Amino acid sequence: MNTPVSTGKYLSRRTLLRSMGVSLALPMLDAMSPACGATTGDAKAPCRMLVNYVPNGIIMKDWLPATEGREFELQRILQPMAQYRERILLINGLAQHYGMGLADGPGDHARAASTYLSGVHAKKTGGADIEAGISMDQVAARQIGKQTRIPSLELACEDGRMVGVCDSGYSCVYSNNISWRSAATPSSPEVNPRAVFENLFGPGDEDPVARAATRRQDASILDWVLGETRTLETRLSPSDRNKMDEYMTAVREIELRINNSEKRNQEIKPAMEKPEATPVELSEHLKLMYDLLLVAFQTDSTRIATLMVGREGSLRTYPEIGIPDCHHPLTHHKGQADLIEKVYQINRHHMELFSGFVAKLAASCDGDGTLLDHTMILYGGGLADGNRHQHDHLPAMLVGGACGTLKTGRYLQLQKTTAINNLYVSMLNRMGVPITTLGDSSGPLKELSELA
Amino acid sequence: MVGRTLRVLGLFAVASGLVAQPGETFERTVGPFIATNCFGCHNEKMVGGGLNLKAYPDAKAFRDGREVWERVLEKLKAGEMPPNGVTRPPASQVETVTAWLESEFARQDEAARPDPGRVTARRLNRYEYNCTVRDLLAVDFRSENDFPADSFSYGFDNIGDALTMTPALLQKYLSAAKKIARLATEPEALPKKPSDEHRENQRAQRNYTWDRNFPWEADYEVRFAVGGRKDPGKLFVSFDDGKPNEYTVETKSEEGRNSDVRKHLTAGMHKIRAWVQRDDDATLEEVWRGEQARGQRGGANPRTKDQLRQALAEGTLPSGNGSLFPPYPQSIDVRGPYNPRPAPLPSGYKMVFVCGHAPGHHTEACVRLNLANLARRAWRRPVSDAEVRRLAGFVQSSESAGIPFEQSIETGIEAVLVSPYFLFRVEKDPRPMDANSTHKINDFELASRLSYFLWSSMPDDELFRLAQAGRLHLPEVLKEQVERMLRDSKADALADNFGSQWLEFRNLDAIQPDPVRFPAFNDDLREAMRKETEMFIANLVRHDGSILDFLTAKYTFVNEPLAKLYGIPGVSGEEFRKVDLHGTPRVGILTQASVLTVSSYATRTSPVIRGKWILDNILGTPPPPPPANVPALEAAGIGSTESLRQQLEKHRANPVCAGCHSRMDPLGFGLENFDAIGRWRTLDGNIPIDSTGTLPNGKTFSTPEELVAVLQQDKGAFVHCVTEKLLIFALGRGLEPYDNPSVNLIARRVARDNYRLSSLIQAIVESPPFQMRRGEAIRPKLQAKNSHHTQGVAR
Repeated sequence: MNTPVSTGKYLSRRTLLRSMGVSLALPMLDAMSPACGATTGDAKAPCRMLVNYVPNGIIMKDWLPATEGREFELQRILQPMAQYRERILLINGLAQHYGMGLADGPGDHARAASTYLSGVHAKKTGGADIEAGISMDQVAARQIGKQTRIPSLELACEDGRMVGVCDSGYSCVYSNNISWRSAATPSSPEVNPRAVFENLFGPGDEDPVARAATRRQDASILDWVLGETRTLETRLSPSDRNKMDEYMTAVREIELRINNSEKRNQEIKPAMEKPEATPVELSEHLKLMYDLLLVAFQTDSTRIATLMVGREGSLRTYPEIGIPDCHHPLTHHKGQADLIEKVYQINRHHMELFSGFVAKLAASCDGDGTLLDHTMILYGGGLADGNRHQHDHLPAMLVGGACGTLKTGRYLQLQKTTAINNLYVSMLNRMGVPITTLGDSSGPLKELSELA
Repeated sequence: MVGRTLRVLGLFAVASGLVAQPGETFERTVGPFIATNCFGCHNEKMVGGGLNLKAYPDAKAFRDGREVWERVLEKLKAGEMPPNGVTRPPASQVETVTAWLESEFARQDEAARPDPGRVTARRLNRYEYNCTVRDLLAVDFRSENDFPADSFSYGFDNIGDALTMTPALLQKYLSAAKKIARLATEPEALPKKPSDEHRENQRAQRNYTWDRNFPWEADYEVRFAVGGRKDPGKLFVSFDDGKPNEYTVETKSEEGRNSDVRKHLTAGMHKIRAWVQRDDDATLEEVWRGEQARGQRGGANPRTKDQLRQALAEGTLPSGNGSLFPPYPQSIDVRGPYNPRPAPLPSGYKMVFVCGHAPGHHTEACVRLNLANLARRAWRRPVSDAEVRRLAGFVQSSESAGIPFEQSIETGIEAVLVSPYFLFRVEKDPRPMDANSTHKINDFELASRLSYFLWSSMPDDELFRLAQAGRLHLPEVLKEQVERMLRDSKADALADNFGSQWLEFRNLDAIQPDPVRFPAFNDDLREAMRKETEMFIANLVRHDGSILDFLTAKYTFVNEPLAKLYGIPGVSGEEFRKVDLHGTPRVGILTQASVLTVSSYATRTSPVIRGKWILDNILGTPPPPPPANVPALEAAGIGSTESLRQQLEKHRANPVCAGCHSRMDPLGFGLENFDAIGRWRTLDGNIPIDSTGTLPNGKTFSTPEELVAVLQQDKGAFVHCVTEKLLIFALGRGLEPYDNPSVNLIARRVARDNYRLSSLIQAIVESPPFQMRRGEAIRPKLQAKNSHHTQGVAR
């Protein structure tokens, strides 16, 4: 399987990647696809999924097309995607009902993020008694995560280290996390590109033999730890035992990962340079994160990822595009044209960076096509109009072929407001996760199934 | 295991300082007072503020309604009730009632059988991990570069329930343990050839410092490059703050902006510092000539030298090569080692190999001895023979796999460092499922509670020794130890770790003031702001100051950049020094730039945020979240010709908003003379600053200093607030209603002891929640709400 090749095609791709600041050793799939599109053997390329979250809502008039169906036009925010118009599917009419207040009062930002992928109304608390629901990416990770070395990747470009309560009585945990392993445990995103790299490929300075030895040593340490910890639990109260359970679960999951790597006997050693410092500017930071996602997908290290471009309620400033103001207060523009324009510029800036990532996916050979063919990205957020904290008619754009299961190049205007969880059910089905319902969904989003 | 059940805790049997007339009863004092002054609104029909005071007709009802009456007391003391516009009772009557309530509460608290509560096993957070590894193995490890951020709860990141453990984090713990074990025991091997390490001054700091570890004593080549505007000047370079080398910065060529120095350095940490001093006169001359020349060619009018001098001071001088920054040290390269000597053994080596043999001469008995010692310190408790045996067996199995002894013990260190006994502070309960069974924690658990409270780190040898001897909990021993610990420089953690979270200045890292509006802000200033508040707190700790100094100190600590911001003359250089603030408008932490900056937006101040900051962190009365369907108040403030004050006043006309904003906004406006980076101002744009305000209790102020004076009148509220914050931090859990007696007792003792910081810390250490814990009632385990997925799977 793991045949190394050094064809001209491969070299040209390597050169291409280098020019993007990424160079890459040989993932398995390359070996089987001497050129994009011409496949040999029966290996089917796996499907990958990314949720790309943007905070604080979108200027919807610059997002929603006026025309339904295939003839839709790209509004200002989406223009950076012009080249990939045929690879996108815009959906309007989706709602996250449980993101609304529902007698809990304000805190829409906290709810927008924490509820986005779960459809579970988060418990209003500034304390430690956090309670939300498992998110759709983690449902997928549980079921198909074992197929790759790393079940899922959670990334973000903004550190959640702010002290205090973030949004009207909600703990910061809610605004900082869209991915939740369970009701009480967010799957906190990694902000540091170097740490992401090391998580994917190890410290990057060892040879395969040494890495294998390290893995065996890790396995023996974890084995010893499990043995020593078994005696601990008897004298613990329920809360303490929950903490130890968390620890034990983590130990077992790492053991599983080690076993997986052993079994596959697969050494992925990317020649991609390990990122060092975390860039200050979003543009640089986000580009690095996209590069890491690209490499993670290329090497099939994981198939499930979430990325928070900003934490919900983000106060980031954008000096690199001439906006010194904090993002969140700007979105409460009260209809003032100059403020709306600035928010639009931020929305568009995010889209420009994203389109750069799509370009790389499209240029990346993968099995019988490109990586873009085998990827399904949901670009969106938990708020539509940030000024009004609107939780319905959410911005939602699917990008990529999803392994031939999506009919793209159209704008889908839903007849009536529909739970966004229906979309998640449909997405997970396409990922090979056979669920029929999730949170408040009533089933799959049937409009998505039109392929003709 | 110690499991002494405590019935009565005699520690607080102290008379209250408040005077209530003996023999006064609820029926004679409070009853008639509320009937006259409160029943008008707070009756069963109107239930003003959700409160029906008629439900408390007698002393028994009063005793059962403690929480309600705490609120009544708070409102009466703050002068917020009866509200404006209603006839107010004479002050003497109010005082009689509040005094009676206070002494009655004090009596209740002292009689109460304390419920110490319980705290969930606490995972070491990043800060604690670093400090612990430093003290355990003398390894300087920066977990913030590797570990994900810890989550916050109740304002702090050391809350047991909130500190989660994920596979990703465990993976980091594994690699960290490996690295730490190696750094602690192995001398760095000599490299085959010299290498080059490059460090970029990414944020263009004027004063760039690189604290670098040099593993070998050797010669090194250090190269400096100057970036920014090509202005003439001098580059200064110092090692370990010694006498600086001086280089002239050429302006003609890029090469001329580099300088090399060859330096012999000993093994260990060295501080390389570089800064550039621009020659302002020569720069002016150059720009002036340039403009003159362009002027002759018909460009814009050349400016006079005075105009240019001013532009230079403001930092708006046009740049020759397109750079906006004045010349700064852009990068440092270190090349080496040349002619190195072998690295010495790391300091951690002796801490691991306590058997005392020379390297390579360890005996078999060493394994157990060394591991037992390491595990005991790392796990902060005695270890059993069986545990040591298993650990040693584990190490020997890797030894028999052909790994040399000293390396195989690294595996043992790794195992010790990923054990839950190291990563978590676990306290065992004799009867974990019985919520009524309270017990004193044992001396080892007490040692850890102390050391993580005051040092954010593990206990030292003396604490271990006293715990082993079973003497640590003795009141006089404990008191002495707290005093000793506060004198230790490790207690600076109270400033860095507790202080930075309480006062929220940890958020300085994430703040990016608009460079156009605030050109004075840069990383040096950011650092100086942080340092000022840290030094202020550390100084209080070290000299056992009064906690009221937080509000009223007429001194602070500044270096040149900060003094410039504050307009304090006569301070030059990077070093911080204590300065007198008399004659300036600054007083206490509220006027420190760190606090003023973290409570502002990037482009402007926010009186609402600052007001809320004061309610949260000084008065301890956080406003409730805004009610549903109220538009965000702040939103209106941007981009209008009305002053912020006018706009906010308009919003307060809405009675729904007024309830909280009439408390929040005036407090914030009292600080409006300080801009979004804490500089004094009298104008906001073209609008004169108006920092007058009236609080709901009718108290008025017209300057920041007067605002602080008003806050200081209510010492009780501030002391209560600090007590709560520090207790949360000390315990690692949020406070519950049953903690109120403890908080009240601590706060009262602090007031009696002249508000000494040490008395606050001692009182916390002596309190039941700090020294005791109890079992836990069984509660339903949190169930994943989406658990029906599994059932929903179509197969």
